[in-house]
Amino acid sequence: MRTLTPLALTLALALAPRLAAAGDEPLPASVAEANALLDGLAADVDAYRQDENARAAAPDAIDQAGAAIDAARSRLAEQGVAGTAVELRRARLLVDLIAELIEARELEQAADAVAERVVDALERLAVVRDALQRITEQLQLFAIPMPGEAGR
Amino acid sequence: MSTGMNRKRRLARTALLLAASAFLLACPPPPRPQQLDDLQLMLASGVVADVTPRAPDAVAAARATQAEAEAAWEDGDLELSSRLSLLAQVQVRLAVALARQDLARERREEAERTVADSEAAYAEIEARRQVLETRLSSLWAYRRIQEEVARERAQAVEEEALRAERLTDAERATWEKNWRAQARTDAAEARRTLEVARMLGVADAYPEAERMATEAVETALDAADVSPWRIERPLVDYAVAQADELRFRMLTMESDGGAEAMAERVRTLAETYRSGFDPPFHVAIDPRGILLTLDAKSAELQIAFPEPARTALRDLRTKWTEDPSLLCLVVARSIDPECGENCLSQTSDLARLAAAEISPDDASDRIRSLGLGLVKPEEPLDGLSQTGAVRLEFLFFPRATPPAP
Repeated sequence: MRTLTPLALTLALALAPRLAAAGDEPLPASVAEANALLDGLAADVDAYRQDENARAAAPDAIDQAGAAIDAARSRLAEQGVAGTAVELRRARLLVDLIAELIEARELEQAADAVAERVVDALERLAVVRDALQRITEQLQLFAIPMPGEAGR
Repeated sequence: MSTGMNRKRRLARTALLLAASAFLLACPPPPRPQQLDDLQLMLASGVVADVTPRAPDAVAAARATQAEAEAAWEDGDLELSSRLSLLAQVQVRLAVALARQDLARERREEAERTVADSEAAYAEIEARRQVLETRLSSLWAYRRIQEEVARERAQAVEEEALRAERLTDAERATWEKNWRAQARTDAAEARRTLEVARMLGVADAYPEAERMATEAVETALDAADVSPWRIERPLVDYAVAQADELRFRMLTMESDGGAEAMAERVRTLAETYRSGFDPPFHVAIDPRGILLTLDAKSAELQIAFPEPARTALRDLRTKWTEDPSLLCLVVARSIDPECGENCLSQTSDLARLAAAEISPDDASDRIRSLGLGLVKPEEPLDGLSQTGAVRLEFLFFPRATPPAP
């Protein structure tokens, strides 16, 4: 294992730019910057924990993001920024995931609300169509009476 | 000595390399991390297949990370493989979240379209329903009035019949002749009214009622000629009632501003058409529109319309053509008691002739002609002799705009 550690480090260093490019933001340049990033992510997660909508939309992701931030802090202390690239990225991605899950839930709720209006609108339409059909039939079948039979 | 030692060393080195190679080949590959297997299952699932079209970039990113995790495992770096697998799993979840958003947006847009379409359809149908409801209630009101008229008429007929019983034979013959003439006149009026209703589109709006009215009018026309007196009266009254109601159905339209607005329009039309046309026509308001009447000799008309009627017809053609909202029914009937057996076809031909005189080709869809034969002998207007006399009537009436029920 010991002989593998430098190899892993090399791989991580080689992958780091690519991983960063795949994400939205570059990796922090130093341990201090990485800690600042993790502090910011932890603050976001805390805020999500206080938010009822966030808890309803992404309960697992909030817990996992908290755990991922803790894991990234531990690894950062041992491996430095390059050795923590994957964990930093995962923590950031989990926080992004919470935001996306919240948005997904809101959009779904909005779509459900409109879908309920569809049901109402179609019901009203069916009722007025029936009424039109009835009155059309009455007009068509409104036989012309013989004189003396009108109005009955 | 040294050569032998060197060979031994080379052999030993080769044997060692072979042994090392054999050992390496015999070694099983390292076990796959559980996280990598989980990731593989996630990416192979139907959920990801559904998600891919909606979040292709996110799924591609997850697959790229999976490839890196596989490569790390193949290189024997199980820890990196495991860490990358966990990262890729989050990427998969992100892809699913993005796809849910896309699907929700799509659902919402589709639902909003459906709501908008439904509301538009509702508004249209409701407006139509209200129009029809108004028409139905006005039809009931019309029938109540007709009921009253029919009652009074039945009473008058009864009184007339009682009076007839007290007449002498000679008086009775004249009385019956007049009675029958009146029945023929009423049946002919029903025929004209039915034609007006047809021109207003009644056959499309109320096909069954139109069929019934046609039968009733034909029966009444026959009965007025051949039935014993009093038998034909209810048949004629029925035809009149049917034709009147059909026309009424086509006139009670809100879009035309109602009955009052229509009556006002007809009054204005009558004033307009009096100027320059009366004489040679006699212009009057008719219950169905405005009526321009011209008496002439059938034989003359078959050659050419005499002056000043000819010039008046040319002017009428110009004036009527300018108003595309005005329909025209040309009716010809004989007023000569000696009209003869071909009277109906003669008057039909004359009506067609007169219609052609005032109608350019592009107005042929708003003019019809009708020959009624001999309805009732009458004294011609303007001092004309009765022999071979025909009466031409040009009935102009506004086009109604009914919504089809």
